[in-house]
Amino acid sequence: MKIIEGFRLRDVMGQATVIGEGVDQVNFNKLITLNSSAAYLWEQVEGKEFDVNMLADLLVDRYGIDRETAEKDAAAVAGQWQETGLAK
Amino acid sequence: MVVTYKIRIFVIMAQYKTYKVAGHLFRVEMDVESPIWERMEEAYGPFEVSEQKEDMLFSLNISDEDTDGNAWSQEMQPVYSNKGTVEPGFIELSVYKSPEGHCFEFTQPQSDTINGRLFVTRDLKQARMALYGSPIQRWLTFNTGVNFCFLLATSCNRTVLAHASCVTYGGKAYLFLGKSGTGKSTHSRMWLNALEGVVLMNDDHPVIRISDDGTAVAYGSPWSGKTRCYKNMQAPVGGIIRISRALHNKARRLSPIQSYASLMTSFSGMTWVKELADGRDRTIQDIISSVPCWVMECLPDHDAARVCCEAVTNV
Repeated sequence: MKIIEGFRLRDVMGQATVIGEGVDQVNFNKLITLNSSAAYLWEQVEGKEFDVNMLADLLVDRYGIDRETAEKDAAAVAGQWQETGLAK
Repeated sequence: MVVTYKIRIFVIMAQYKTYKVAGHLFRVEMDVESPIWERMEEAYGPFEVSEQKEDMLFSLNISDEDTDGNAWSQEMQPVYSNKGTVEPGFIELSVYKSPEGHCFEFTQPQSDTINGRLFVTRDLKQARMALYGSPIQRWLTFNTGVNFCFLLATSCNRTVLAHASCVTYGGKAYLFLGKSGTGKSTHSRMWLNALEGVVLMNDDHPVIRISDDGTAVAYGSPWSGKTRCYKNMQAPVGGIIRISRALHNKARRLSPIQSYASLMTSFSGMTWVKELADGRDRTIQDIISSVPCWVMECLPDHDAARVCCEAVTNV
């Protein structure tokens, strides 16, 4: 999957927030806040093709958690991004 | 004896005038005979200045026909269009980009009649516009064009053009936000009727500029929608209130993220261009770090103005 073009991650008063700023998001009137690990994943995969495995690898490398937990967390984040229309 | 004949030839074709809105200078240039000058008098007159500076925010050159057709034909790439989604009476917009800058085409809904074309250079400082159609169409398109140039050129200058109705009260400016038809103007009118000392600053597009000391200051502008309110005045912003129709009157303070979301939807801009989006983001964050933002759930009555005023002036 890939993050949809036009969504940008910004620091809004200390809170990582995704804002739809592209041509296709003219009517996307939502803000989506990310926790710090989701924001980290976003920065790493922005503009690239990725999958749940890649996200899990990133979590293991960065936070030193076990593979199983990382895969569960990665799947949850990817699922949320797809549900809210941030990635497809 | 030598006789010197001095011959002076006056060939005056174009004239320009300089305007200052929210402290930003811009220049409009067009044929001295253009009927638009006269129409500009009411809305733009209060903002005209004699001040001359080399470094204008932007210069806009108007022609009554497309004398510089090349501006539109060169490698134009479509970027955005709201064709087919616009109601009759409003203007449709299509945006294109070329290596030299941004092109905007204004058309009438449900027809391919072009009302005007605006070209703005990449640095947003030079603009030219061709106008077509009836005198009133030319005027409306012209007005939209100047508004666009201002919006774009100020994006990275800690300035936003807000879609809002704005009043002053007790030396501070209060802006009411909301989609068209929500009751921004109505709420302003409730303040004017129910409270002492309220002045309508602008009813459609006031400007907010962050001053050097970080204060958010609201300014009147030549763009006031259907209400003829073109006041050249300014006041520090005391609050920004989103109007939400309800069956009761209640003001609710917004969190920083909620404030950002509220402001973002009312400060339009060409955010798909990253520098412009960065500019808007910075201005919004400057505003919300010093100005309380609210949502006002309200009826269109005088009590709404009293409840709102009491909440937002007692911070």
